[in-house]
Amino acid sequence: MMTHWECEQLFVEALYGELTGPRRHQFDDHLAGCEDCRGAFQRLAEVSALMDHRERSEPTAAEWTAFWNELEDRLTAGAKTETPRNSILDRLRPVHISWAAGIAAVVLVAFGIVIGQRVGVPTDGDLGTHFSTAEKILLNERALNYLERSKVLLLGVVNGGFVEPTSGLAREQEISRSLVTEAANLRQELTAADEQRLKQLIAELEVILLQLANLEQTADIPALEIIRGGVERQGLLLKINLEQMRAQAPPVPADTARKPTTERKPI
Amino acid sequence: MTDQELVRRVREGDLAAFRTIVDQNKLAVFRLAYDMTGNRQDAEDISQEVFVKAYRSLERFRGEAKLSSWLYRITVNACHDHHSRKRWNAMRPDGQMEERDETPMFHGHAGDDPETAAERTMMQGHIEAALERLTPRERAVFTLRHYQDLSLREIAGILKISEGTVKSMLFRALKRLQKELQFYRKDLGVQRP
Repeated sequence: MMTHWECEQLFVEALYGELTGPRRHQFDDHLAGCEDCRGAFQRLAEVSALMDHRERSEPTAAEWTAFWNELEDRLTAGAKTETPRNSILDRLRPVHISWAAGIAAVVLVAFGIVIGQRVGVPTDGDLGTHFSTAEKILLNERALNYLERSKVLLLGVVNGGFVEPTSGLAREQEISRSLVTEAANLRQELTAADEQRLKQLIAELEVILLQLANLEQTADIPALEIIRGGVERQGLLLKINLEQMRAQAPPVPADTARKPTTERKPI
Repeated sequence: MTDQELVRRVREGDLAAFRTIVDQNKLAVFRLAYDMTGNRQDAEDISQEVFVKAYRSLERFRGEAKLSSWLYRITVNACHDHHSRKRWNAMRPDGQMEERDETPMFHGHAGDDPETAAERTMMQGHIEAALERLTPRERAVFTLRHYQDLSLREIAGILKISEGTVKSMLFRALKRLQKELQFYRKDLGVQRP
C-alpha cells in the first residue's frame, strides 16, 4: 500500500505522463481511495492547465530574416562572442568585485586601528567619550565587514549555477559557521536605537547562514535551492547593499537636520 | 541531413549548413529564452548570443547528445548569465536601475468582447508575474518540461543534474505557481477567460 508521501513523490511524473506500468496503477489506486491526495493532485493539474494559457508573441518571417542577416554579419565579421560591456567594472565578475571590496574593507579596518593607536592620547575628561566613540566605530566596521563577507558568500551560492555541490560547499559552510558566531556577538553588541535596522538584517542573514552551515555534505540540492530562494525572496543582497550605501553616506550636519515646521501648541 | 552531417559541413566552413541548423532550432531557442526571461527583446538578444556561441564552439560538440539538447544547454546558461548580470546591474550602488516595461501586452483575440480581452490580458500578466516568482533554476526546469515538452531525463541531461533533482525542482515550481495563482482555483468560482 502506497503512503501519502510516496504518492506525492509521483505527482510530477503522473502530471506529465511519465508514470506508467505498475507504478501508475498503484498511484491511481491510492488516489481513488485517498481524498487528500486526490485533491492535492487535482489542484496541481489545475495550475498546470492554467499555465497552458500563457501566450507569447513570436517573430514574424521578416523579423527572422533580419535575425539571420544580423547573425550572419556577426559570424562573418568575427564579432565578439560576449555581449559588449561598457566599462572595466562591467567586465569584472560580481564575485571578484565583492572580494576586492571585502579585502579593501579589512585593510581599512586595520589601517583605522593602527591610526587609532598612534594618533592622540585623550585627556582624562575625554577618555570616556573617546573610548565609546572608538568602540562604536569599531563595532560598525565589524558589522560592515560581516555584511561584506556575507554578501560575497551569498553571491557565490546564488550564482552557483547548476553544478551539484558534491564537495564544493565545505569552504562556504566553514565561512558560514564563523559568520554565524560573529552574528551572535554583533547582535548582542548592537544596542543603540540607530543600529536596530542593521541588527535586524544581521538576524535575517544569520538564519540563512545557519541553513547553509547545516547543509548535508552530500549533494543536498533541494536544501540549497531553498536557501537560494530565501536569499532572493527576502532581497537580502539588496538590503546589504542599501546598508552599505547608508554607511558610506556623509553624516547630516546637526543644523540641517530635519526640524518640525511648526511648534506644537500645548492643549 | 543528419545533425552530424550538418556539423561536419559547418566545420568545413559551410555557412549555409549553419543556416539550416539555425532555421531548424531558432524557434525552440527563442521560445526557451522567452519563457526563461519573460521579455521578447531579451529573448531575441539571447537567441543571437546562443547561435554565435554555438558557431564558435561547434568544434567542441562531440555528438554524444542531440544538437538541439546542446543548444538548449547553451540557451539556459545564457539566460542564467543574463539574469545574474541584470541582478548585478540593479544592485550596483553606481548602477542605473533598469527601466522595467510595465505596459501590459494586449492579449485580446479577434472577436473578443472588450471584457474578455481585458480579462485575458490580466490573466497573462498574472501568469508572467507568477513565473517571475520562481528561482532561475526552477523556471528553467519548469519551462523545459512544461513548454518545451522535454522529458525529465532529457532535462537532467541538459542541466547536468540528477533526475531526482529535476523532479523535486519541478514539484517546488508547481507548488509555488499554485500558491501565486490560487485565486484562479476552480473551487473558488473564478472563471478563466
